[in-house]
Amino acid sequence: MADSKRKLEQQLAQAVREETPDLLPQILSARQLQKGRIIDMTQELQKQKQKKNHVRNWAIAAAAALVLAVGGFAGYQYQFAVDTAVSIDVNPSIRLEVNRQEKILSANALNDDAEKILDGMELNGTNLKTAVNAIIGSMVQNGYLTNDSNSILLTVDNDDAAKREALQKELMADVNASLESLSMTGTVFSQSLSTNDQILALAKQYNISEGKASWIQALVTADSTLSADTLAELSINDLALLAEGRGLKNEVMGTADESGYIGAEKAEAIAIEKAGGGTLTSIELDLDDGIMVYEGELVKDGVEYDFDINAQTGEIIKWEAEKAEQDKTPSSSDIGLEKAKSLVLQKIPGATITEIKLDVDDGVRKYEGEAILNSVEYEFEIKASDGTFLKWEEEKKQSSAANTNTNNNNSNNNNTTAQPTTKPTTKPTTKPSSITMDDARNLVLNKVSGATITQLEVDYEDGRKVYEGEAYKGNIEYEFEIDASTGKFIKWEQDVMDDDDRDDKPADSSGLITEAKAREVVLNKLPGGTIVSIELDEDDGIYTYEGEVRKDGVEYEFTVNAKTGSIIEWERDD
Amino acid sequence: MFFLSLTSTLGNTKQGGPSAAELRELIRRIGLGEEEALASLYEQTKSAVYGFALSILKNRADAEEIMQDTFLAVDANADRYQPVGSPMAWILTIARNLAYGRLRRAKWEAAEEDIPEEAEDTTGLSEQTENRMILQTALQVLGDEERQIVMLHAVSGLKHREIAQLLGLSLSGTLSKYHRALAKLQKQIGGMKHG
Repeated sequence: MADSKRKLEQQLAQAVREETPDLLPQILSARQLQKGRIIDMTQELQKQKQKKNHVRNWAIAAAAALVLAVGGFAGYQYQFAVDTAVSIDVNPSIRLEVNRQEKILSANALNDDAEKILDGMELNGTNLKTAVNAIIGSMVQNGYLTNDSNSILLTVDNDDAAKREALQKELMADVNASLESLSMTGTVFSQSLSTNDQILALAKQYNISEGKASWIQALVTADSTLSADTLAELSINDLALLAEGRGLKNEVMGTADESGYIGAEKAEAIAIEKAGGGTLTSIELDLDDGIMVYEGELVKDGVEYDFDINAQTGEIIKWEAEKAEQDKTPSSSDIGLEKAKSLVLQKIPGATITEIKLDVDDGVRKYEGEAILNSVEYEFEIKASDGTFLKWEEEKKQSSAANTNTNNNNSNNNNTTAQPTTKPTTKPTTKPSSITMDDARNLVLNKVSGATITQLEVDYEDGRKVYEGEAYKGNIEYEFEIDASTGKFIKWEQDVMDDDDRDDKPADSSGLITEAKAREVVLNKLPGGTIVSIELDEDDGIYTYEGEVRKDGVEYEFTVNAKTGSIIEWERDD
Repeated sequence: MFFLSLTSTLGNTKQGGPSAAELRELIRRIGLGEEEALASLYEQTKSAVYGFALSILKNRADAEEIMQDTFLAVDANADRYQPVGSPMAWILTIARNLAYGRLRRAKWEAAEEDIPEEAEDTTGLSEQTENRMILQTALQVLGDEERQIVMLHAVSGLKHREIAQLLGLSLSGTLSKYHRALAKLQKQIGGMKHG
């Protein structure tokens, strides 16, 4: 029986191998197109800074225009004043004007495609992030964003450099989260920009956003064989390709942000001067309490310094010394970094660990770090001596769900009374969801307290976002679907598990011998053999280790009872 | 038993596929931008990726597309890969996310434009080999999870424990579904042989 199953599997594998297409040439030629989920131009710029010293003239002009813009807006800052302009370009180009409270004052379609995206959406008065999410959702729905054509240009134009950086960063994270929730891989280019007259003229002439215009201008400046006429028609994806194909990636996509930062090199110099020498181990531009800082580490004479340097002024904001050897030298009593990582991944399989390091806090050695899975960020601390979790926190990234709550903050809560002129939030047609995954989990647990939720995921039914999943308690299995915008149960089914399902309960697998032990059993039987494969299996409620072992060119198939360690099957394979 | 006639062709199909260490090294090199490493990873994992995509999408053209996107995503994300756990599972997680994304979009499109369900793929049915007939049967008679589990085990060479992790199931759930699926398949194929 087990044997014929194995044959069946091999035949299946053979069939798949036979019909697997050869796509390597396409993949290699298309890889130019997708160079990463997010390309944060600000960071990219920092990395490239030293290499880059040409095609800059227009950027200097942009800086000059910035001064003019500040003059124009100073002293005119109340509710209806445009504080920031945000544009979103895919092929549809949309320009959003936003006031100081990040509420939309106007949403303008800059081309026909954009008209289609905005059709039926009433964005005025909504929170900027909600609006951006709705727009991205609509672009996906209308087929403008696909996995083949997936570049988005996000441009933030504000006269305050720090603010525009912060907003750019937040929006980029937000767009990425909403793409991820749609299982899309997108490339988000983001730039903060202060426009010049030339760019404005270009934008006006071709009905495109300033952001796209800035790319086009850079491309035309760098390659005179290109004409703005033809470029204006292209999508951001195509423009990105074009720039990359000409080796202009950094010049074109990175030049946009030039605003007065001191640069990583200068920050490094400041840090080294402060420490009186030493070696820089890391530095990156980061946002800290609304201030752009260069955050880094420096080691000198075995002492490690953590620092934050104000990216605009060069002022040292934070300077902390830590004994490096205490920190970095792994101790033999530690579980080790790899083990710590695997503990995290056991908790959230499939997650990406974005940061993990050994730290010593009040004499306690621990691994601390962050991981991300399905837009949820996890922070953890694991005791280095025994692997127990000292901290485990989930943090949902800012998304449309979270924003609906903050929308009405400024207008009290009595929005049931008719206020036709100042209606604070008009919901766009692609309605952001209002309950989180945690809410959904609680709803299920309210219905059946003590149940174990085995599966819970976001799905879309007829364009409507739902949470669907499975749970069980005792021998009853539940399947459910919850409307994500209302929290209503759309589906609730329960089923008594039959005998087959009953062993879905993981309790059965307790008290098994380890794989290493099973190997030992096999090699006792066949000294000097090589185990080709071994794996835990289960059949009719009995756990076994099944596999193949080879010696002197002869292969044997074995089955070891995983509870008792006895050999159940031993077959010579000729 | 008709299986006997095939044993010779199956002699060199060993279970498990490329080693984890090998794949990790390739991913590391892809992260450094080495095109050769990508090509080599592709050769070693293409059938696993294609088979898994096919088991989710049940449509060859879609599976091809997802296969291409998966390798591009691997290329784009390799520098961020954390060498923990099975690298094959990492690649297949990417494939899975992309495939599910595609299913969702297909649902939206269908809801919006009332596109008829994609017609069943019947290319090359006449030249079907026995193996292919089994694959076709697997695609037709198995449930969504069953298909994925069988494909992951048979073609991708993942262990049940890894499959459970990848699909978010318990180990015992994966195992019982796997056995049920193979039993179903055997029964169906047995029926065809005799009928």
